[in-house]
Amino acid sequence: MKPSISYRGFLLFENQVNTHISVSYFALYLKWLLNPFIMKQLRVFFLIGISVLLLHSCYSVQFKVSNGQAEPCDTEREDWLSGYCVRELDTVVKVGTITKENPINIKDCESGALHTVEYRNTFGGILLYLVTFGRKRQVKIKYVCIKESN
Amino acid sequence: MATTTITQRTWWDTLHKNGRFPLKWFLSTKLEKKEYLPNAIDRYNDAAKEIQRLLKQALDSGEGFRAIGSKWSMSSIAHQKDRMHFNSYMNIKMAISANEVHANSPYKAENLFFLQCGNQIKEISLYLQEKGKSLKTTGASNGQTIAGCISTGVHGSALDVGSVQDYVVGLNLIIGPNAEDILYLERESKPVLNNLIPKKLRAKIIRNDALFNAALVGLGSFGFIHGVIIEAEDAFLLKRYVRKIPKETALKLSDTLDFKNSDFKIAGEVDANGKPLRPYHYKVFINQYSKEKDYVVEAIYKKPFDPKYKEKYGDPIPFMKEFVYRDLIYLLIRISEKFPKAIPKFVKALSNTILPKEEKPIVGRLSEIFWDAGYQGKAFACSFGVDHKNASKALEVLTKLTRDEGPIPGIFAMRFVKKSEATLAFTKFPITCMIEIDGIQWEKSKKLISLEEYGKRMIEVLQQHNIPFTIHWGKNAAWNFPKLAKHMFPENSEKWTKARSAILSKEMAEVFNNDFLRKLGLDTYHEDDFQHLIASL
Repeated sequence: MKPSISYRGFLLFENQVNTHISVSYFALYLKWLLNPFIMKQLRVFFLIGISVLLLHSCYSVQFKVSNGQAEPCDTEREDWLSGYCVRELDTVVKVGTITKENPINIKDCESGALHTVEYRNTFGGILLYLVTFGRKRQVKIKYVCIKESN
Repeated sequence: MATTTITQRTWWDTLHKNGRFPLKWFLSTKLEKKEYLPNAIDRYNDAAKEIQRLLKQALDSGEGFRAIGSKWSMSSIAHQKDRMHFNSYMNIKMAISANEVHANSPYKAENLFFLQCGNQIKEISLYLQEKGKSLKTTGASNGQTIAGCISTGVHGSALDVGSVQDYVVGLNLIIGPNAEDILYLERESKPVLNNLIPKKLRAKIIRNDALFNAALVGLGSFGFIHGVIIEAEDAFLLKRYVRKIPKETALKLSDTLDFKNSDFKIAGEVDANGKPLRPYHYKVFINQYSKEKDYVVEAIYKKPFDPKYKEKYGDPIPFMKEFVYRDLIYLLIRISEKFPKAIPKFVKALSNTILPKEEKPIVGRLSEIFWDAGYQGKAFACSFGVDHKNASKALEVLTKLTRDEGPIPGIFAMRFVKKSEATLAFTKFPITCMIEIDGIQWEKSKKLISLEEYGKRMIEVLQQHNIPFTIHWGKNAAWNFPKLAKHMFPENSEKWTKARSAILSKEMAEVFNNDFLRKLGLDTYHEDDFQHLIASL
């Protein structure tokens, strides 16, 4: 099969007689596609697509108990946890091939109870999980303890 | 023993970011652990000793000292430039037993509870719930500390109940660093405790109505409120309805509170003759920019407690609550600063999320109906108290000002509260209508007046229309308005400063002073001899 059309290093093949016309159209399409202006537009769309994908894979979910008093703090936060003592855990948990992990111990709640947990999922976290076949898991949480009772 | 963390600071701010205010030292005291000091009274006394040590430090260094709670106040009432003490971890709770109650007490022992200053409304409610009891009323939410509530006069809209301070019946104050500086204060006319508990607290007992009423809403300046005794009541349920009713009906009800002869009738909330019942709570929401003929009103009726209420009516606490993105609100505010005419449109667009919706009635405990209010951004609130008979007149004056000289990014509401006995309670009218505008802070621009100017104009227009008023101590206002305290409390402002002078030494009065008090002229110290007051009984 001999190449019939070449355009910027791409070789296009004519494999059927009745594709003559369509090949010509395809060539025109490619010409349009590889036009610098169109390329720029495509890059923009591509970037938007990737951003949307990243945004969708980066989210947080919040949980809180309804029947407990959160531990208060004088902080300058401006998020939904303003006024509370917020602790953060940002680590990677490693799991062996034949072992399973135990729960992560939270030792700094003097009341012994959690009031609020915010779990964050990121694209990087998902990627890490995928490329390590689940052996490395990114943990990003914020939590607020129950206020110690007296 | 109780330990205090002292942090050097340059500034401090309120929860709703109404500052920044300069600050040198931020103090936070944690109680001794129960495992080392199991007895609650011992832990309480240990904390008292620690507070006295901190007061001595402040006194010796010639600096001020001020206790703060959850910093919900939007005014500068909680601020002290030298030392601010975070009370929230001081949260001992104790029930009072019958043998500790005064022989002439009108209160039942089972309803009396001793609460340390840092107890927050939500944890108190949960504690009382375990004992089959409830607070009588709270503010619209539950994060404030009990000492913070009474010091600033936190209220709900309980027509016939009053504010938080109105069920506080005893006060334990620390007024200085010496052994004799621990006081237990209660009304002579309604004694609560015999000598047993005050003796355990090593407190000097003062039974005096005038002093107690003055200290009750003490603006954080009547010594360190270490503990309070509250009168709770048996658990009850509240049934909440939201309705749209004609403006005229809502306003007439506000002026008269005559529910029985009103057109506002809710099926099932009527007496044997079919006349509307008087609700426990009545609140009117007003979008001052809307020309709609109806107002949204919230009416809540008190019901006997039924343990199966969740099965019958569903869970009053929503599974999840949605909020408008803060960034979106800030963006709208930034646009509003440049184009103020857009504000009414924004308020209207957001009204679905701001105003409660007409939906099926919700039934729950007091603590469930007035539940958590999450932080939703830099907020402002101005709140004026007027006699409910002047409610519609005052509302008209204030909303007209807001439209003509604003617009201001917020909406109005009216709540109604029974008169308080506290000397400086802003709920001073037989039933006070609290007219409040809540919203998001904005920056002054060429086309938009500042919050300070707006606050000043609100006072001026009420004065021009001869409407007697008070202002919520914890809200935004032009607090430096000339002779404001005297205008709001012509006689009681001096009664209050005299009572304060009777309780505190001159040196300690200065320690518990702050700029808020000075602005209002409430820092006056009277050198007269008030020993007759303190020596009472």
